[in-house]
Amino acid sequence: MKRRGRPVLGAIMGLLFGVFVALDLAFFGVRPLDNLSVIGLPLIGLALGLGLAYWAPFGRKRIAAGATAPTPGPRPAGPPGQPPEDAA
Amino acid sequence: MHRTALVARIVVASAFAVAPALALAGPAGAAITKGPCNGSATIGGTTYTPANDTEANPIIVPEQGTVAWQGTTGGAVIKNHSGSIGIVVGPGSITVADWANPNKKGDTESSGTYDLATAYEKLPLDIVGIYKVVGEHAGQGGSCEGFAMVKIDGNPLATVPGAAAAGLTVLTGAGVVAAGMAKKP
Repeated sequence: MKRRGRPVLGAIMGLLFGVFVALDLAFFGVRPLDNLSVIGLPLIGLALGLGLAYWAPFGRKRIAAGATAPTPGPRPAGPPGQPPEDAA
Repeated sequence: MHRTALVARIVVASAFAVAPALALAGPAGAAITKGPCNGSATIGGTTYTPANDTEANPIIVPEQGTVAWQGTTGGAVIKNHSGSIGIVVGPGSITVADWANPNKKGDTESSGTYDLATAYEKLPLDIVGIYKVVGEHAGQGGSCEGFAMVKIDGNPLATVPGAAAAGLTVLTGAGVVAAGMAKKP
């Protein structure tokens, strides 16, 4: 199964992140609330959030090059009182 | 001299953080984009002109003090005039002051002082930072348009909007990272 992040969360948080960065830039005296700040930064945030969600680079277990894929774990035991199928 | 006349208004505004500049169809980059108006404002010993129109060269407005201003329409008598000043937000602007006056005396210049505390009382929020303000003044006999960059001095983290924006930036940034966490298969 292909691993993925959360695109909806990424879009919403990315958009809001861009809005607040634009406000921070104005409040901290770096850049006024011009077109690039008010429109451009939220769009950049939106793209960042969606991109990260589809790429999902965080939380993955890294597999060393040349290593074999992990073997599946033991099969779950059956209901109580029944012996495992292999023992039958 | 007519207090509410023309450019004087604009000049005053420029002094208190809400202002555009006076007119001066001057060199490229000057804040006056239309009309013959001109003016200046002195805050804390520093005199500002329409040339203060970039982020690197803004009109610095302290938290308190007095502004000495003067303005002129460049000799043009503008009667039945009206105007407004607004803060630029994206493709539009939010009007923070407006005026209208018949100017029956035919004034073409004005000057005076303004207490910054009065200006801050007109702002809806306690904000600091850099803002582009635009202004226009028009009537029978001419019109002027211009803009200026205004920087309101202060610690943004000491204001409610500034602290809130900083905190929400961190929270939404964490949300973006969370969205990039791989789901378990």
